[in-house]
Amino acid sequence: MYPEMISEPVAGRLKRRSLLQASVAAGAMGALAATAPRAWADDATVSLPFDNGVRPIVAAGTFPGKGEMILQRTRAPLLETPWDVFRQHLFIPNDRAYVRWHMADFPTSVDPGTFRLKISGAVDRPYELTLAELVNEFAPRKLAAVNQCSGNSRGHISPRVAGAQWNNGAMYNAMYTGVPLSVLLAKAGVKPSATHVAFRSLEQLTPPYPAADRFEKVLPLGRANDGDVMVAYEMNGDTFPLLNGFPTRLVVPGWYSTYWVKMVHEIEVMEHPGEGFWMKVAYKVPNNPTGAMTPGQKGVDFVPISAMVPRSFITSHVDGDKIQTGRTINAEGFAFGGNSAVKAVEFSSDGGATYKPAVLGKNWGKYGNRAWRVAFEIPKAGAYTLMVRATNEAGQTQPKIAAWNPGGFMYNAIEQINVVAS
Amino acid sequence: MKFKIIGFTVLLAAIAGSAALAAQTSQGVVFKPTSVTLPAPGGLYTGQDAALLNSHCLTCHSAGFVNRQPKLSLAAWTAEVTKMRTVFGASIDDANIKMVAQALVDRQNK
Repeated sequence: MYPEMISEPVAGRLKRRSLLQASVAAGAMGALAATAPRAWADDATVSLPFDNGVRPIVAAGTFPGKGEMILQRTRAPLLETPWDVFRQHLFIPNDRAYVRWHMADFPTSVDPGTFRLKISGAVDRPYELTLAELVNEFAPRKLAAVNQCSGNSRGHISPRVAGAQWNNGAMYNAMYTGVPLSVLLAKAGVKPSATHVAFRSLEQLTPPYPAADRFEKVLPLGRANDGDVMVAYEMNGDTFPLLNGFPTRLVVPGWYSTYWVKMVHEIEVMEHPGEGFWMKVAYKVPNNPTGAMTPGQKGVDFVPISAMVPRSFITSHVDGDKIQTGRTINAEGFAFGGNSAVKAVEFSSDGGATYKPAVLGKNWGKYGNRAWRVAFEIPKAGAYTLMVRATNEAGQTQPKIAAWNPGGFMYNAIEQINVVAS
Repeated sequence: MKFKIIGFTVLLAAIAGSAALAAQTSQGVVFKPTSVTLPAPGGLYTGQDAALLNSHCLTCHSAGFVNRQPKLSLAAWTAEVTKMRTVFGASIDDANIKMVAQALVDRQNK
């Protein structure tokens, strides 16, 4: 069981509690695989389950503010969360949250005394806030949400496409504290002509990185003003690691992480959707709810990526586990609904021939991870495939085969774990 | 909201050596001046055509991301390298785009 099912994650305490819980759980799990953290040598690698999947594991402290991580790229940093972390935590500790920067022109020093959050554009009263003003002058909102890279699990997409070749670790669930963007925009007074809101980071726009393609992301005004989108200044009860966006990060719950601008400091209300590379060219998907098309298909209408689709994972077992026949076994894991709450999680121990409903854990809110559990029994020896699928309130269910698009975005196929019963 | 008590000496230690002051708030959130150093493990290309790739590619990014791609066609690699010029401002001419793309295909086929 996840420690966070009992109490809310709090910085510091989370790490100590979870280590204790993990060691207790490992002792109590008997025939199930041990979940104790593994120690890695300096030249350690992990083999992700796809072709050309060998990756270095970098030791804790190699990257500032980060624990042991899977190295996808050194500069600009791309760090994946090792799967063991998901087996131990429903809320991922800040030092294990994945890291993804497109360009290496973000500042390595941030002075919170001079930082300003600027709200401008098509508003009646543009203004700036210090960090102290952002925290002190607005009621804080707490929200559990899954931040997931648009290309999470890209390494599993078939046919393969170029891009970060992630396994499933480019996602993390966290409890955010911040101020709803709707409140910040109301203070400025949005003009009736406004249609969109642009967000920019502390990115320094220094050569060789071209200023014309600065990392600007744009939300439609309706989404920006929905009360859930917020400017967060804490994650799991502590300030952000620099590599995850210190001191402020836009939280767009339910939508892919490309919109969760790190080090966000410029918010511009606009009367148009923007013309930048990161909205007009990059991060585009076929215009349908799953981002599906066939490879080579012509005449596809591409739109900016937006709502996440549901996903679920098994954490009690890993590929190759041996299980016993004729006894009750608990399968456990977590699920998230994407852009709407988890409605149901179903588990199969016969390769998807039949599914049974899982019991869902504490509901932390519609955008967060939800733990699940199912008791099952295998009657006779043999090879079995464990599978789990989530359905969200919008009626979307995970498919057996993921949708394909040239960006390798929105992967959410049903996860499969192969075990042997004897 | 949780209230964090930060001792005076702890706060002093956090800001020692920095001209910047931590931004304190009435909610107990403390933003410490943050300065980090980034590492560079395995940043260089090695092996076949390493000199060519190191001279053209390292200005903006380290080698790992490229080495970890799945097997891609010459057309796909050409598109990726061309994007480095058209979008990300790399100063690489057509002849060199062709050479770099071919080198990347050859490395995957070796």
